[in-house]
Amino acid sequence: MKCAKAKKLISEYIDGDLSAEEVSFLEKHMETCPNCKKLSKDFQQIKQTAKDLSEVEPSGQTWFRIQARLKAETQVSVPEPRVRFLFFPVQLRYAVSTALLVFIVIGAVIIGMWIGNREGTVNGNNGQAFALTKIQEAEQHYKLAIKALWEAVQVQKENFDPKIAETFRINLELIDATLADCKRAIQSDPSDLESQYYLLAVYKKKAELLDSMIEVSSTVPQNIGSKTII
Amino acid sequence: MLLAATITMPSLLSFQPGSSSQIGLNYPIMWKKELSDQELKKLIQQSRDGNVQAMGTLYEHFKTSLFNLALRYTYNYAAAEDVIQDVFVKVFTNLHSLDDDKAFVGWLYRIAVNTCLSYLRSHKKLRQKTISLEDVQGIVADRAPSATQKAETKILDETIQKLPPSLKSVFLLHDVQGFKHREIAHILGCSVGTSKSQLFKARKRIRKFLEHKQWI
Repeated sequence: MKCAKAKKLISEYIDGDLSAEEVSFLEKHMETCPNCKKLSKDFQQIKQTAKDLSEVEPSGQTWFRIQARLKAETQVSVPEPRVRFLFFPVQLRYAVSTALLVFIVIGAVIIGMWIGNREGTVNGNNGQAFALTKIQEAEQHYKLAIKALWEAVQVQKENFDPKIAETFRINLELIDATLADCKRAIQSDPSDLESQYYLLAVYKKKAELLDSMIEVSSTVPQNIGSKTII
Repeated sequence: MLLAATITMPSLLSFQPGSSSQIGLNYPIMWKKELSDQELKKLIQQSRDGNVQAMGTLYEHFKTSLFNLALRYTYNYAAAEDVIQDVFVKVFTNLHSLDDDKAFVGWLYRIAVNTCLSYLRSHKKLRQKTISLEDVQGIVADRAPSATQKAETKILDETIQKLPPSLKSVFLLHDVQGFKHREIAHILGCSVGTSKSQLFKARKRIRKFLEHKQWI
């Protein structure tokens, strides 16, 4: 037997996977070949040391974490809006940034309105006019936020599960119908502050709904049906 | 109220292993620790029915072996914990789709190896420099090696870490975990001949490295 052939058999030799005939040939070869004999000895030493490698235990918390994850896997409903900003595509980040900025501005406007109302109780009609101006400013900001969020939704729309998309569509239609009612009420009486406040509340709901749509579309993995674990 | 309807999302894991023949395991792989086929089959069936206690028993039985397998891929205690969490969640979530309970052990290890390889792919850039398992924080299971043995195992651990994934898988399953080539072939989805040749290459690589270290 030549060394090249012997070397190929040595790994199986130390595992006891060779036939009696092959073992006989190989052992005969190793009697006269120190290199192959050394290879066999080294492989045996490696195998033995591998058996003696230290074993480490996982922490006692691991099983509890597995149980918690299994429990969570059983029922998944539409998630509460959570901002996982860094995982959003670039277009979405801009849209959400714009929306957040607009919400901050709206917050400032609403505080301004509140101050205006307080002054209005003192200054009468001037205060009401101030509040109306601020409401109109807030409306513009909401419109801007909704426009940005709507563009973001359009980018993600192909990711929607059809059932989720349908639910969102129904809710959007309801909100748009309510917005139209509010606008009609305001047209009939532009000085009615209650209708104006209600209009802002509906805009806010629309912005929240669009934000939820972005969140859900970013959460749902693509190609769910074909995903495999191995 | 908006979003009044609760929408059930599809399971994130829609793994369909199909028949056992697809995995290639039609007979039991004998596990080195004592657990009869009957006991294992009963635990699998109970786990499939949602029995948490049975799941816990299966976890207890395989946790050390799988954790150490994961540790020798990741060489990071926290990462190995994450990997075995993923493995057991996948296993218990998809147990209903395993047709042949006799194929369970091979299926479990196949998921484990693939989860480890997936971890390596996703953390390629973050992989840490070589460290020994002796340096990994954790409870070392019931072995008390001598100082020489400890030094040898430390060097071998460092060497295993340097192996490419395909050689590492075969070496870990055969020489460390004690699986036969026939079993490894089924776990890794390769031929028996490939398993044997990969083991030969792995041992040669290890030997070469150990010669540099003047260990052999």
